[in-house]
Amino acid sequence: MSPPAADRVRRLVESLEGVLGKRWVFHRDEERLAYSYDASLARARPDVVCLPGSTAEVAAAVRAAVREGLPFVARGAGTGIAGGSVPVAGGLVIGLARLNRILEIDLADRYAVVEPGVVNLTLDQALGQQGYCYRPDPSSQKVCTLGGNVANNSGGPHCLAYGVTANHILGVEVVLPDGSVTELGARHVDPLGYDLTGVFVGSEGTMGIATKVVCRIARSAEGVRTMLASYARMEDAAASVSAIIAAGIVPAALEMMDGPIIRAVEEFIGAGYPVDAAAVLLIEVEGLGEGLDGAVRSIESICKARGARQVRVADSEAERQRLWAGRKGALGAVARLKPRYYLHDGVVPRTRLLSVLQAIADAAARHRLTIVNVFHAGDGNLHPLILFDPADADETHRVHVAGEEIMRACVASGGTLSGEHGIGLEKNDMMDWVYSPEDLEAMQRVRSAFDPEGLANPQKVFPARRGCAELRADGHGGRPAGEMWI
Amino acid sequence: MSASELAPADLAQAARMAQEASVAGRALAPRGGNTRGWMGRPSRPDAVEISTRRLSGVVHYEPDDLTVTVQAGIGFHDLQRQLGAHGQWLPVNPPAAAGATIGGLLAANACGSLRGRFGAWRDLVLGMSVALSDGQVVKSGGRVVKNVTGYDVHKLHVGALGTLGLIGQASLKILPLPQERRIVLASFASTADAVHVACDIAGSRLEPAAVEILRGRTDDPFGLRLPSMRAGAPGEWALAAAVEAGACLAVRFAGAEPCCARGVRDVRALVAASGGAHFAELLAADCDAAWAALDDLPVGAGAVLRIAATPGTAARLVSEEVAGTGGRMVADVVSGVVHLLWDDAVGPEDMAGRVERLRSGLGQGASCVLLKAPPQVRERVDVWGPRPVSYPLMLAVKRALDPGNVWNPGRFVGEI
Ligand SMILES: Cc1cc2nc3c(=O)[nH]c(=O)nc-3n(C[C@H](O)[C@H](O)[C@H](O)COP(=O)(O)OP(=O)(O)OC[C@H]3O[C@@H](n4cnc5c(N)ncnc54)[C@H](O)[C@@H]3O)c2cc1C
Repeated sequence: MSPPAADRVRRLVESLEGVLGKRWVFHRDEERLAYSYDASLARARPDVVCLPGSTAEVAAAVRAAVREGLPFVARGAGTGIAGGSVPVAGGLVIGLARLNRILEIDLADRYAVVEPGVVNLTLDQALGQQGYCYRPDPSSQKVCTLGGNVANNSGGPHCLAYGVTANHILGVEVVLPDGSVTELGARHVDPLGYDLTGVFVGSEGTMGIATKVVCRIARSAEGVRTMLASYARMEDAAASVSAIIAAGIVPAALEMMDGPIIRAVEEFIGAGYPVDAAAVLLIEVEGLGEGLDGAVRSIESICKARGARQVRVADSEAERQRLWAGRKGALGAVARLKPRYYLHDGVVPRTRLLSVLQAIADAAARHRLTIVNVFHAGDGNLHPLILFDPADADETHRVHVAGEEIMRACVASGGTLSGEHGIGLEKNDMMDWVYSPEDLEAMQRVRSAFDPEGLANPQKVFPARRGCAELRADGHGGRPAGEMWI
Repeated sequence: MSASELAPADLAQAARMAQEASVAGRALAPRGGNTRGWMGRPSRPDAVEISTRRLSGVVHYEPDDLTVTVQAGIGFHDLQRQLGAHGQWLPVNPPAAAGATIGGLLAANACGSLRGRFGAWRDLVLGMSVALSDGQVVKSGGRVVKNVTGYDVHKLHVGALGTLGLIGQASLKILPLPQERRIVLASFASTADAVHVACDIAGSRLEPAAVEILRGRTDDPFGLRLPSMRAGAPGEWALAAAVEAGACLAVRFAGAEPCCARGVRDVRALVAASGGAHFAELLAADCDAAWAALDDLPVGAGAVLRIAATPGTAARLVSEEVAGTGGRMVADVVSGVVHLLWDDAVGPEDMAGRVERLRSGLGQGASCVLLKAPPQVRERVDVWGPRPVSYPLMLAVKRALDPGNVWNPGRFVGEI
């Protein structure tokens, strides 16, 4: 018979303190509160929090939790937008902030080995000094960790040309849910056997904890051009995106912002966007200097043919930075329009952008809501932001209904529930919109090969049948620091 | 192999066949174009082949989405033709692609030297439907280019050699055909010199489509059909001779014309500065022919060994002439994949010894797989080599997805 919960928690605290020292183990109420949320609307307190300082300590912490039959949840920077690091089932939160060293950078072999708590931008900057880069650039890159990126298979504006996190991870050291340590993949391509790295990336912490990550690194591009195309009609901007892709041009980034975003950005940041535009496209091309002019010209003529009023090419690095500052600051700017927003993440085939944007506008009208759009258009990765006031219960309810309708529209167009933010707690009950019970069962079987007891980040990814009432809109969620952007 | 071959008309039927096999304790061996039957450990003698030849259609193709969904039995070249009609292509160049199916190439993880630039199968697969041995057809992923909805189970099937299920359908990322293609060939008296230049190019910002080093022993061993070999111009003959004596560097560019031209120019300068012996740039029809020849490794040879290592380790191996193991060699220095091709003249004892020596020299730093070898060699060495540290997890995955051990039992790493 399992001893009462309080006993188990007490014993967990004792054994963690024995291994990590009291300094790195937290169980007071306010400490637990600090680890009860991420950037989503979900909230739940862990029983205990610990901050291990080595792989061995992570393994010991996992063993200690599992010995008491308690679940454990890995936590990076807590910028996840799907509730991934929120401990809904209680148990132990294992924070990886102290594992923040870049262990190795090998330029000749084009890889870097990092601990999971290394911040994405820190790695990129370390490489940048030497003319190299780490490609995936989630908009939260100033804060989010590579461990979190691996768990969520994160994307970013430049993933259009270069691929998402999964395409840049060669291997991972993992603490498995039984507390043993193993290595998936290698430092080179085509490691022997099944591609366990491939399935671990994107598993949202449900297969174990990454304690080292082997990242592929690349030479940074020789040249870059950034342009801004503005439109009187959103439709024309969406049509331009499809036309650019269809013409065989794969820009490094192709981002869209709609009218309300543009105006919010101009009011609060001043990036030089035309305030009377219904939409702008921020387009970047990279590569050998010789190819840039041609690419810029082709894109310009495609945009103009689709009704762009103006296409402006940044003629200095300062102007380029300013154009990007608008994009990067969009979320912070929007936060000033209404107390809160609900950020959705859906993907559609690129030829369906226009019809799904229309469906979003229809949902906004039907439910009397303001929905604004700033997103990775080139990938078909939508980010509608539904603005609301949590004090207004009726409006808050309509936000959830509209959100579901938007997700339905994405799925109906041949798309899916999430392009980069993950399923976590937010969308696990929608999983059966895209997968059959058998599909989900097969995924569960793979999970159980890693985690037979189901103690690694339980109740995530797979349907749990909770009401959305549990995703309470309280606390700090939905208002990330101003320096982050979606 | 067995006389009777199964050929399901759809994936549901394939799953039912697998379930029956599971109940009866039989083994099934998925079969595509049978161009790689030689891969892996031998099939169980009683395994019944299950062919994807009736699953050979395009399921969904909207060119402007730059994705395509196909049934696994579609021919690689057939698909490329269909995509080509819309100015698009699947940017992979597996060796020995003639007759191969998409499903078979995925299962074998047969990529090619373009992978460093355009990605390998694992990067291009967006989703899959698979028949499992419990009678279910399951899918993962989808047909959009970015997707974190559920686990990427499809990645497990890439390179699994059909040991987890029958790949029935796959969605793939595709690209517009490049505006221009160029090949530069340069010959070097010493392999080490060739490697040096190759590494400079691979580590540059030139964004080559592929950088390979070829070393052969006969005239035009790679069937490059160099113009020189046809025309017989004396200076250019020397190029062929140099390939024979030393090493040939082949650099490919694909993209906008000015970028290709720049690439060729810079490579020429690098070659000249390094004292490379001869240089040829292939244009137009010669380029197309040579491009195809470069794609197509002559795997007809007696044995093929594939080493995957970091680019630096691969370069070192190549400079050191792969520890004097002889034979022909094709090395992709961008991705770090080296193929060694030995003909039948090398006896099985000798061949097995070479493999063992290479493996013990490389240790954990590389994988060293005997893709193809005569039976007498396979009896002497494990074609896959030592089990990786995560082997217990691999076994657990196999047991989870194929508890009846129906799919290709024994052929994979560690006798999975
Ligand atoms: C303003 C803003 C902008 C954003 N922009 C983008 C964007 O452009 N693209 C994008 O893809 N995402 C974006 N995100 C989402 C988020 O930043 C990413 O999902 C990021 O990868 C999360 O990293 P983290 O370190 O904060 O992880 P956390 O939020 O702490 O955790 C995320 C998940 O990973 C698991 N996890 C964390 N570390 C590990 C580990 N070492 N081993 C195993 N599991 C682990 C957790 O259990 C959880 O399930 C944005 C978020 C915000 C707030």
